[in-house]
Amino acid sequence: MKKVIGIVLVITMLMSAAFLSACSNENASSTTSSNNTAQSDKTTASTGNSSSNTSSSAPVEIRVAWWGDTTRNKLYEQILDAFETEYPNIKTVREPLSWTDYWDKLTVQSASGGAPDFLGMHPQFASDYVHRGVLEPLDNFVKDGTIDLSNFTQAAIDSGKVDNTIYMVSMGLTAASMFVNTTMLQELNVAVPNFDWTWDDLKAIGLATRKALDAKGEENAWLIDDGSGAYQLFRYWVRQNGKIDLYTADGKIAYTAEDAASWFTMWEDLRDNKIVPDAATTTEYAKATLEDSLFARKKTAIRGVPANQYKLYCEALPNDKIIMVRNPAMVNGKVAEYVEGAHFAISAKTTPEKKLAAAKLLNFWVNDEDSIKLFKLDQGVPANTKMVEYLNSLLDDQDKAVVDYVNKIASISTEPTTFPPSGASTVDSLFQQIAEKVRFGQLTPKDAGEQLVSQAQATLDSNKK
Amino acid sequence: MKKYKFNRPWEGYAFLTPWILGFLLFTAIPMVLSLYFSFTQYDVLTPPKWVGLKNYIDLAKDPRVRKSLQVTFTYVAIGVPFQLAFALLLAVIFKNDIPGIRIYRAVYYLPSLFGGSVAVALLWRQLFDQEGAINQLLSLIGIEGKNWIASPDTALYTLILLLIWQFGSPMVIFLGGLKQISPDYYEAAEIDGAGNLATFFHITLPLLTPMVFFNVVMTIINAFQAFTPSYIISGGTGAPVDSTLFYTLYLYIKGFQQFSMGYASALAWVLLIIIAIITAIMFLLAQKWVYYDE
Repeated sequence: MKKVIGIVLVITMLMSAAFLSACSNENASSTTSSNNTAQSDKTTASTGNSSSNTSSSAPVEIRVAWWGDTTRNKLYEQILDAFETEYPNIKTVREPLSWTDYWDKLTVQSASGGAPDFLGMHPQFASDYVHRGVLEPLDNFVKDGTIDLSNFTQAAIDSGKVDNTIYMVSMGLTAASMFVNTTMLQELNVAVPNFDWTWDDLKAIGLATRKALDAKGEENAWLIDDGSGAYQLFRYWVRQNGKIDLYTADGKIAYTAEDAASWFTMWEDLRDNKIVPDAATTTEYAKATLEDSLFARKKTAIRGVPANQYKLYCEALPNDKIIMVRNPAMVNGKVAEYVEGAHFAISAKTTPEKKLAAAKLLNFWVNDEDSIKLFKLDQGVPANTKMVEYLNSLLDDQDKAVVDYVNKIASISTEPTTFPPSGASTVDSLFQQIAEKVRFGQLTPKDAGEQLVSQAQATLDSNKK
Repeated sequence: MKKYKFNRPWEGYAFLTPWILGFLLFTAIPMVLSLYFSFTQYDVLTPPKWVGLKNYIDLAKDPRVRKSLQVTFTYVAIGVPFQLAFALLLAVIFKNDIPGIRIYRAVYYLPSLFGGSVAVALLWRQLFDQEGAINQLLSLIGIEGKNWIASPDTALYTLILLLIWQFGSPMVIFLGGLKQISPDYYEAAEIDGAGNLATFFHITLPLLTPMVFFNVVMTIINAFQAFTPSYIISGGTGAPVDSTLFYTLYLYIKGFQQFSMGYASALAWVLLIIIAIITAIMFLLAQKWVYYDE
């Protein structure tokens, strides 16, 4: 009897060992996955089997990822539901995240070959992902009409190209802007910046704001966030100083140590005058969500935000009037404005059926009326010009303000931009680290400028294949 | 009487297979692979390129490696002694049978169970920031607290405090050790007129040295590998200004955010060597001060 029990137990052990090793392999997609594998939380997060009947194509399940907050997530869920109604054989598994977490997770997922099939992508990071073979080239889908870009302007199509191949499609065009809480400024009796304000205006308004805040005894409030670490804002400074962009067309650093030193010096001056918060506060709020930010709590009156988020911010501050102005201009500097977008891309490391399904989703998203009437301007003005016309009747005042703003910026965006090369995201973090050292007084602006340029160039060089 | 001879070793091995598989798949093979990768330039998405000792040489010159070692060593050098001192202190106090002793022991043990978790790290971050509970308490007695988490000179100390707070598991080990000390020693000491302090230093502590040694080695090894608190509290960057850049966090940044898996593997092996050397030193020194009551 003991021997029989012994043998049964041993067989059970061996089977469970075999089962575990089988499950640790890939492609466990619609089968029940064991909890021990690292893959399981990524593949079948959905309620099990891919969906139903009808239609000649076999059922396909694709993973869809995007960045955003809760309001956007709800919206996107609705769009995906509308898509599933129209394409009942395609099921979508949704993976939303916040902006910073999105890129962290995407790098890890790509590294293990598990990037989502349909993913949000941004020009800032696209080069890295294209050069590492993560994104699928979309030219064939465009040629055979699966993705219809006939109503896109050439500029919109080009915004999704890397090395002359289309890798992503824009779902919304937007531009950088500064949101100004005019109610807060009026309560302080400070002049509101006008659309074409300059860096000098920023300082003047800042000093006036500081005085007014001190008079009210509010020492933990400032005019604007400390933007010294915002690489994309530095981009404006560089362009205003006459450089083509952050990077040259052949992928080198285009700015000089003096550009960077003058940038850091300016922000140091603003910090010393308490126009922007001190270093510790900036660090504390660096990863704050919209609701927790200094702007939403009325501790700052101005914040740099892409124009398409206008509605979200208005909803966060329902009792205040917020207007959009462009980034501060430089007196006698060049016009630095440009229009950019948020895009969707398709993973290269997945099955052809999933790629096709993802392409259909992409087409639906940017071209179908059902999608557009839900999406409206969430990531900016839709690139499909016919859709913009269709939308006009559905837009409310806030949306119209965004369309006007983007159009205004587009009309003054005369200078070309260049695409960031591979390694650009590392340079971005490098910039943030150096800015932080300057903020805490561990680096002088001059040294910071020199370190930035040499280390940034070294990073780009080491990333060349 | 029938003698039971165990002549079926294959059964033993069969029972072991799940563990053996786990060990191979998740520990042994990855270790060998990472050793291989440490000699390559590998961004995980394209095949690795052999570069020999380049990663190790770069590592030696990298200022952030030096900073992270400095941060990690500070963390270990301050955190471990204080944590163990607290553990020992409380073990001695809890040795006696005060009413409710079981509850106290459980409560003090709890933090070490989940102290390394994400949830606690998030909480800790809230506690110590500008408007957190710590500053609110301080304001009650009139001190205006600063932003502990976001200031480079204090951020690391909040993490050290978190480590010290997890003294529960060493404490339980010390308790076990204390119970093992034969009461004969204490009786003898009492007869000879030794006071509490003398008893502690001349009887309790020497007889506890095996436990102290065990706790020191285990705590040091764990502290070197700390990752979650640093990642959560600094938001994944070692902020502010790398003051909380634990060695493991830098490894993570290099490997998973900057696609330099080869370099990260080299970092991992260097860490292994460092910990191994320190542990070896501890074992060698142990012969001098650890007393085994054989």
